[in-house]
Amino acid sequence: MTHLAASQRLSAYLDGELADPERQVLDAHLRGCTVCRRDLAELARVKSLLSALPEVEPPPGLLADLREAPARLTSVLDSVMAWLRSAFRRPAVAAAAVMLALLLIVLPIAKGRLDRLQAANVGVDVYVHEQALFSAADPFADPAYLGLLISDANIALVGQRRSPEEDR
Amino acid sequence: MLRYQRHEIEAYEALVERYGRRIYALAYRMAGNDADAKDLTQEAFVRVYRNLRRIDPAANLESWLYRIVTNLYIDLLRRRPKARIESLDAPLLTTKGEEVVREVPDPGPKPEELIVDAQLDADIQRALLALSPDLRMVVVLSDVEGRSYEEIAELARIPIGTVKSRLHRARRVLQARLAHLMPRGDRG
Repeated sequence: MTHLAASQRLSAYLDGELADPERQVLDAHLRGCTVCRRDLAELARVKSLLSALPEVEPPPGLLADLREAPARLTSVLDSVMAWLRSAFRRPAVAAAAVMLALLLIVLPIAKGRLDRLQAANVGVDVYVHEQALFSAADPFADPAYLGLLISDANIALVGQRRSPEEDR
Repeated sequence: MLRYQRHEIEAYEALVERYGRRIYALAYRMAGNDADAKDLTQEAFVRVYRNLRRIDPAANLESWLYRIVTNLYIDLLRRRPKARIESLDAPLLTTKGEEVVREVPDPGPKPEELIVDAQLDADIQRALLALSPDLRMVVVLSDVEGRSYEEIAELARIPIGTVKSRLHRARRVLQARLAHLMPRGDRG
């Protein structure tokens, strides 16, 4: 047995889990190898340290908690589910619930659409009227008019003939 | 959803009675602290409770519970990957970069023996925490709980050969980590 193979079997050897032919070979190797002997002693020490660890006692109250906690947890869930189920067992209640759900979904959609249709009908007229009044009262506050002033002072008014200079 | 009969609740309580301590002890050695061990144990038993009707009384419930605890623990690690252990001896750095020695409250006088034991326990637990959860599980089952390779193979659902190699690797790491506790006579 090579040294590597031997050193990899030390743990099993220590636990008495090595079958006989292998075990005897390892015995022979150990007699001649101080490194493996030391490793074996140290592995045995690790094992005995771990087995000497005191058993950890659960904190007081944990076991009682374990007994009761899931029951408490599920009993809350349970009662809610039971209430829902009993409510839905009556057809009238179930039908009312379905109607209510439909109303809640359909109404806002329908209302939004109607509003938009109405706005499209009235919208342009109202906008133009208001804009005209506003602009007449205070031309410089009208962003459209301001834009006209700043960007293109040369623009011709509608219906007016262009001057010959501009056509050049 | 769940509405258990009286005898089913009694069966659950019997399971707590039977496995509660052992599961807590395992969770403690896996997680290394009481708070996480408690959480893991509670979570494991909530699962038992939820699956009470699906549990086959003939099946190996212990193996199932052990696997749940290990998986929950791995989940726990995944959720807080930056968890680290702070050494109480290491000096603290202030914001100005100066080193300040930590002031640890004196736990008060205790019998000599107990201090040594608690110290040793903490040393070993710290060494255990340095192992990957897979290796830790195997070495805890074998050396702390004293189970055979066959039992471990069944509990962890891995082949015996894997138990052997994991156990060996785990002990090697512990051997290096606990070098200060090794016998001196045979050195060199």
